[in-house]
Amino acid sequence: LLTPLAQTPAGRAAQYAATMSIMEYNGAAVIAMAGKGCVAMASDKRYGIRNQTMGCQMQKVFQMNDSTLVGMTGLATDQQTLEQKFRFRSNMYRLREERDMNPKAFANMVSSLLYERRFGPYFCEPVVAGLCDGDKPFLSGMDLLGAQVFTDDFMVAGDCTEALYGLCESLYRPDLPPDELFEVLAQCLLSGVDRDCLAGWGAVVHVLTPQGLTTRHLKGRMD
Amino acid sequence: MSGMDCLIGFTGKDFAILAADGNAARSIMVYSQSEDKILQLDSHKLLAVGGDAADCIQEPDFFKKNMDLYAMRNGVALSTQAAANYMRGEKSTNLRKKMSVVDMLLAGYDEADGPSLYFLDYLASMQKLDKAAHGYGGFFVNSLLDAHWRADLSEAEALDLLECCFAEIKKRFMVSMPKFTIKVVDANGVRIVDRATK
Repeated sequence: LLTPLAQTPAGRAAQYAATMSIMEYNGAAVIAMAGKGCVAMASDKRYGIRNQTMGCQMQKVFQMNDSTLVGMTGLATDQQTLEQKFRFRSNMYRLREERDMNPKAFANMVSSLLYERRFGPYFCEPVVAGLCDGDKPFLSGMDLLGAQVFTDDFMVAGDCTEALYGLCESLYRPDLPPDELFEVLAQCLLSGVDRDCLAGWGAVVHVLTPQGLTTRHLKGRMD
Repeated sequence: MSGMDCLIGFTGKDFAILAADGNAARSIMVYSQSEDKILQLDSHKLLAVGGDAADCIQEPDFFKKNMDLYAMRNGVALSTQAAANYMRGEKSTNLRKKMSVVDMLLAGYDEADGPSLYFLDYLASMQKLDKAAHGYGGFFVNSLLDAHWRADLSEAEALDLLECCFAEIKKRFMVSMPKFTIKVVDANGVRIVDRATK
């Protein structure tokens, strides 16, 4: 809906810039997938501000403990603030309970932390992936208010979710071992972000098994 | 959002360099063209700031005083990484209270880590980068830095790269920026350097 001021290309650009969603200010893409006794999470590495890319080494997936990964999309400042808050809560739990927070409890904690800010939210949509009871995959995704949805195949978040859903739906197969899961996830993310100008510039894939975490950095199209 | 403030920074072989334009302006009027936008935080840290004029004085000053207090209490100055994280933390706490519009480039030299550059947005997002620029000038300069920056630049090469950037701004940016301040931080500390002459 163009105002009278936005009749010129410059005016339209200014209006678009003024009404751009806060969730697309920085740009990100995260996918989590469940395999046989393992989970994997991948993200892009772009650090950008609106249409300008400033860096290509940004970390968006964080390991909270031996069995939990959390990946975040949305506003970069809130991603970084929330990573610190999640780590604090996770570590305090560890100190008090003398055991790690399991992924389900962690996801519930994230959800209520986000909902605490119901009327002035953190502009961040996290994805939690982990292994419950040692080797049972757990996936949870939520919106910026903390509304959780649980799946047993894959979870996507970011600016280009439509593209990512299509790829995951076609390429995903249940009960994949870690190496094949890595391949499928890498292909889904790299192809999906090709359709989004706000995400991409490299990718990183983390595969979490009961034995530990394997991280691989991928070369992708730098555009 | 430091639109009209052009801040450029990158690391070299064993130093980090920051450049900032000298314009102090509001709307169409330029008040001064020899403004120094690069603040010295301590013996081995420089902070280039851009954005709202008042916030650019108040917020860095607040950070500097607190960092000085830390050094007095603990007998050791903050490392560059610690300083960057401290500043990001303060900015993110203030983000939904009394946000100040200050974009920053923090350049520092640590004995353990060598030179480093931290890019801080006014919204408190932070990245450690090799090369970075704030402001509209950044639109013109980022690709030049991508093309010509190397990890082992000498100081002379760094100044030549900056001249390349300044020439592009002079040619293609509609705001005139005749003067740039350039400061370098290395193992010996902070110093102001002159622009490279042809």
